Amino acid sequence: MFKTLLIKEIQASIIDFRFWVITLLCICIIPLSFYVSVKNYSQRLSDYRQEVQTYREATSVWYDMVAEGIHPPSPLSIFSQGMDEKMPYKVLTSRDGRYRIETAKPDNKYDLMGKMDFAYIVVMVLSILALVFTFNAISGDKENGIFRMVLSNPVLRRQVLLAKLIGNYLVFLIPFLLSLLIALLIVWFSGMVPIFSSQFFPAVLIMLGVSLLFLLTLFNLGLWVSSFAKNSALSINVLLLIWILTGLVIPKISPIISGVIYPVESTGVFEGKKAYLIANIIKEQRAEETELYEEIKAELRPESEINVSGNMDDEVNVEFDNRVLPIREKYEKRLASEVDKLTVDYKIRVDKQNRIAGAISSLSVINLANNLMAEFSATGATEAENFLNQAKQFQEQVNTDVYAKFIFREYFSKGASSSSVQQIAGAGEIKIPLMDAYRYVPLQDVFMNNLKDILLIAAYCLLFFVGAFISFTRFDVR
Amino acid sequence: MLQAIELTKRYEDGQLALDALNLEIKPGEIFFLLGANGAGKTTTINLFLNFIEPTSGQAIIDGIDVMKDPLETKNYISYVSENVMLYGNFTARQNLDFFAKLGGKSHLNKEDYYTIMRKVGLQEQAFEKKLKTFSKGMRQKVGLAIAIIKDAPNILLDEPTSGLDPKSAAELMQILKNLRNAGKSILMCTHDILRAKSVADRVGIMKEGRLVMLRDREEFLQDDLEQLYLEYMQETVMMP
Ligand SMILES: Nc1ncnc2c1ncn2[C@@H]1O[C@H](COP(=O)(O)OP(=O)(O)OP(=O)(O)O)[C@@H](O)[C@H]1O
Ligand SMILES: [Mg+2]
Repeated sequence: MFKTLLIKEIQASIIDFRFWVITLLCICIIPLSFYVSVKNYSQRLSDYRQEVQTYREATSVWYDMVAEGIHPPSPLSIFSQGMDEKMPYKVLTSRDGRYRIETAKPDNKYDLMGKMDFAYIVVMVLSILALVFTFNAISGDKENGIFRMVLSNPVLRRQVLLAKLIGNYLVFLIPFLLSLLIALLIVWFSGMVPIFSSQFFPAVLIMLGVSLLFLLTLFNLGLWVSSFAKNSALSINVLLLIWILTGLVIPKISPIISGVIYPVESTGVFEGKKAYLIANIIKEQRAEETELYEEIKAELRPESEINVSGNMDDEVNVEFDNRVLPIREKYEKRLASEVDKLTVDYKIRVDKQNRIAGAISSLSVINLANNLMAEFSATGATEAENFLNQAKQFQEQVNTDVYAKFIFREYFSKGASSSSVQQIAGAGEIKIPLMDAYRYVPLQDVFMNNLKDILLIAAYCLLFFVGAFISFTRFDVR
Repeated sequence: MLQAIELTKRYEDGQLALDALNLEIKPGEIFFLLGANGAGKTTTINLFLNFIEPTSGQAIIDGIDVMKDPLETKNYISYVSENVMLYGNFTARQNLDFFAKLGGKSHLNKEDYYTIMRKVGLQEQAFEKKLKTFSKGMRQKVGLAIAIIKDAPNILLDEPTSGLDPKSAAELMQILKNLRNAGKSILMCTHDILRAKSVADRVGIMKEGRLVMLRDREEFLQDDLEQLYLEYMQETVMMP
């Protein structure tokens, strides 16, 4: 019985013109989007290589050199560019330990097609097509009275519903999977990203799984609305409204709402505050060091005219170097603790705001799926965090490899200062530090990090199915 | 056999569409249910098909309460609706095939379908045409073919002649007679008093949800059925 219903649903959806429109669309845009994405990726890869090359050639090792660590473009970004343009992508180290992070500039060359990646196609284009596919699956049959014919036979309503769901879903997947396969073969033949290698394929499979779950969720939503709506016109209207809310409004409005509920100053303001704090502490330190220097000078050479000497062997300087340590230590500690306090406090508040925004945006299945695509393409928040961690490590690496190999001294007296630099003897030739062997977050960790969101989509899927089930099994046939 | 015991339906909006209907249609009997628009005829059929739930009372098909085992009762019932709707993108034969399988007849072949379609008077060249090109009467015929193919012991027809040309309507009546002779219980809702006179074994007149008149063939042939109908429509007469 179920088989009869299922076969009928499959046949009916295949002869429907919507199937052919979707097939044509998928076959055109999915391979095209991958083609463009691969081109884009290869461009970004060569940009990256060039940038590293330039840095290598134009930089020389010195006690206060700025070493650059650059984020290589993620090969899987051909699936989703995610927040690529807002990602931190470069770390600039600093001798004083306060490294800077730069964010990628928008890549104007590819802006036109930049967002038409696989994630966009699934999450925006196919989602709406899934609703177009299902909006009248039930309301249509209800309206024109076919259910009266069907249900006068010994069939269970849930069989009818399941046949509709499975039949339509399977038919919808044909053009999707077919064009995805074509697209992946194009990627594979391009040789740019070894998509079927053990390095990337698991992530590809997970993204495929997420897409399938996401589309199933929309099918359930479509069937639900279709079964409680009195007619197809109402059904498509309700579905479009839901789609606009979840696809266009919630993702844009959630950061705004969270900003209103829990305002946090911008990064610019925070950086300004931090710089002001640091400048003040350093000023105090200098004043104290100057005082000490003057004191020592007065003790050892009360008659001297020379204010300050850059010569490390100068007796005043030697004495100063011996006695300045406690002051330096004190200020280092103070600086560290105060900057830390400020940063941690800011981070806590930003995190809280982000959590609120995240909670609001998880009302939208579309948003959840989009985030997951970015996460598994290594262009999402987890990867951003990962880069920041590696930036810190890079700073430490440069510190031990370069900064620690130089002795740098500064002497301050009234109205003048001098400094001297000395490479530690026997340090040998120091190489330009590179952030090579960049480590992406292991897939397992990304998966565990995002399991909650995957389960949330599954929960939506189930909820919509139960909704469809209840409305469909309860309605009066008229 | 179709039985209604104190069958009552009050819709959510308070409309009492069917008021304590008691009725029994035996095998080999054609029962015509007459009544004005909104009298409650379709409601009665919907209750037998479990499309709606009765407010009280029972609808019983071959001894099984429709509410208790709706799935089982649907094996014993064929239905032709007022306006047969089928899958527009499928041909007449494909529709027939689908509904035959739903009705539990999975062993039929193309020739069987053609035979049935000829029997209900559908023109030969329409057999393999898509349903969306069909006229209303042609759809009714396919609907009838589906009901016949199911070969259930009880048949419900809701104004099946609407949209049929006179010849096809006459053929339908002949088919109904044959089905009756084959021992089916037939409930037919209609406005067509003339047909009732010529075919019915029993006639009931329904008014505002109540069965106000019930006559055997001998009884209504003696009186003028048309006259009776008009009389009952004017005043409410309680059942004896
Ligand atoms: N779904 C519904 N909700 C509320 N009232 C309804 C519903 N369906 C029918 N009714 C009411 O119940 C009464 C009986 O309707 P029904 O469809 O059974 O009449 P009918 O005898 O089949 O009429 P017709 O000859 O026009 O087909 C009418 O007054 C109608 O308004
Ligand atoms: Mg009616």
